Amino acid sequence: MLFPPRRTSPWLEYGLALAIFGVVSLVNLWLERWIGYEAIALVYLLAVVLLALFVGRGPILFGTILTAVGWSVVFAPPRFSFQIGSFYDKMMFGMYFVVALTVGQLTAQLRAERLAEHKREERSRALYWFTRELANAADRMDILHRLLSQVREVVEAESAHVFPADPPGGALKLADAGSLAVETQLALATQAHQQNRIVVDRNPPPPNSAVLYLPLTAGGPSEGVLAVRFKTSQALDADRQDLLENFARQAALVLDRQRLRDAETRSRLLIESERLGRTLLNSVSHELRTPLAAIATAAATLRDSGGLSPIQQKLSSEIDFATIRLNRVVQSLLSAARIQSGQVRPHLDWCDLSEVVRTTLRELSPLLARHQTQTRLEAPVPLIRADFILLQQALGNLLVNAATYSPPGTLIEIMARAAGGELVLEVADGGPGLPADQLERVFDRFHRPPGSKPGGTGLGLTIVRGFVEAQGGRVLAQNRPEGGARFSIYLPVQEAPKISEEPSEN
Amino acid sequence: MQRLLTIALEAAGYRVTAVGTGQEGLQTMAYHRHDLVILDLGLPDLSGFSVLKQLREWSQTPIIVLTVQDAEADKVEALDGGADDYVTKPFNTAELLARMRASVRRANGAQSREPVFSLGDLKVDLAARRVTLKGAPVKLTAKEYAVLRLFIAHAGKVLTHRQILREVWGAGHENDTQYLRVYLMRLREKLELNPDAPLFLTEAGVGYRLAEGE
Repeated sequence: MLFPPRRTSPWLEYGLALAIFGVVSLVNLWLERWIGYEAIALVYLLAVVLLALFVGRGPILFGTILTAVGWSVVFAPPRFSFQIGSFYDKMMFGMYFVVALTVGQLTAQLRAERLAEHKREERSRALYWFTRELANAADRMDILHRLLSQVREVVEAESAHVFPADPPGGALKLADAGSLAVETQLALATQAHQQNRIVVDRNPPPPNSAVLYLPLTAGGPSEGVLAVRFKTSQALDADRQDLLENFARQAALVLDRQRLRDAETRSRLLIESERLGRTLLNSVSHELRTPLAAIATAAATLRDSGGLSPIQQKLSSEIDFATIRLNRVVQSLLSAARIQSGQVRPHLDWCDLSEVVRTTLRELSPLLARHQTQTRLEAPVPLIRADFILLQQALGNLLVNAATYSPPGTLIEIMARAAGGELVLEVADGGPGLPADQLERVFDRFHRPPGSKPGGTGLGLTIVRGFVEAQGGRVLAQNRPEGGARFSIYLPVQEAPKISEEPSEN
Repeated sequence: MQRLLTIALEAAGYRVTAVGTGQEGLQTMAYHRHDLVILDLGLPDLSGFSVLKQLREWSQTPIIVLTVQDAEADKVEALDGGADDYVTKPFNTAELLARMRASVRRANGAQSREPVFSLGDLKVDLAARRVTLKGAPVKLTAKEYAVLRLFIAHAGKVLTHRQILREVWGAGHENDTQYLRVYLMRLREKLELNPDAPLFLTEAGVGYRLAEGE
């Protein structure tokens, strides 16, 4: 039995000693006529040894004294007096005393050790079962449930409750919409949790009960608090507290391991889904682009080939333009998808901004044909660490927007300057500008300004922001005081490594 | 794509052998001499890079690769792996033809035999190491001239950042792109008078190309 009922009261044991003495003495009185008074001492000795199997040390001592004195008084000559006659008998008395005492004490000790051993074994077994139970738990909630059921069963508590803390070391939560009693426990539980030590409450309501708060920790941050209520204050003794401490430590280890397992599963799922997304994106990209490329190439070749009638020429031009547009749309969708799934990997290298601007302008010159463009790059324009292509596409989208939303013939300005550790690249147009309340939202996916012509994807600015942010920059939309919109790309400026100069020649 | 190209190229006067897989391509090249190879990087069987590598092991025939958009890393890898030039799908055939001409010209060594290179207002006397713009002499530093000469030797063909840096500054400077940007900026300042007629064309994310004379 793990927690044997309280040991028999000392009075009972002394009483038992006395009773045994009495009974054995009577038996001895009857036995004397056959075995003589010396042998009687041995019978008494036997009685004391047997007594030692049942009582503690004190009562054994009492029994020893009783039997010794009883023998000397009743049986040793002269009988019925405290005196002992012969020296031989005195010696016997002394040795009897020593032997009875020693044997008695040893036997009692043996018994006590056996009881202790038994208890240890029981506790080990309880802990083993407990660990097994927890190890079989499926998830965090299951662990806590099993913890509670084990606690209630093994320790014979009146009730048990767990306040989990997630993340470990964080604030405690009520695992279920608790009763009032449970809520009042929260304060002491929090104390146990934050100070990482056991708190004992011997005066909770209702009176004479006791509540034990154990932080669930194996040396690290506490995963929560186990609150165990005992019906009586005495029921919460050192043994139970010790066992509960072990339970708490064990539970903490299991909870910690579960948390790691959960994190690993989540991480694995994330990697899988990312991989799936990437594969999907790649295959969609390929499937869309391949036929598109075939159409575009055929259309371009057709357009460039001689011998077409004017109508055929016009038609082939139409195909060409439409294909270019379709290509841009597909490109935008795929770029937006890549940004969305975090697959944009900028290839940062030193870039000459004027080169970026020039290349972009050249590439988009047909689209910008109906506007004037002016480039103003404040010298000296530092080399910036950027992804040429991403930056080119971002700038390109801004320019296309400017051309789309401002009337033909107006000016589109491109400006660059260094400001406070950043490089600012701006595109400003002479159009109507942006509605003041949408300066943030224009960058949202599929946002179209109200009343705009059909035919855009609404992704242009989203892509600008995605590409710029992937390079560590940011983009801002504003309205100019003189009218029109201004988009500013801010990019961090780093110190470029020195170029070793050489003398002029030739 | 195969049919398309065959038609277009034959129309331009070339004789075309078209194959559908890398394996067939390698075999064809092994048995017959060709002046130029157009290699699509997205081949069904072997990867285009593998075909490129194998071909370059025993052939110096100019190779132009077909790539897709947003595949700059592929382009650079192909060029570093021995391809002479690339064309991005979708492309117009005029562009492809121009690059084919440039590659073949380079392969035939025609360029290197010309003592004087001229492009628009620019004239470079390679023997005398003299550069003139509209007749007026231009002062270039040693490295600037080296870059110019490299471009002239590969006129019309693309050169990757790494190739230029390696040839002019040495293998240890292959990744010092800042040099390239600064020197290109200076060369442009000195040699490109007309912004609408650029000399040095930027191939975004890949490298540079000297514009073609004709």
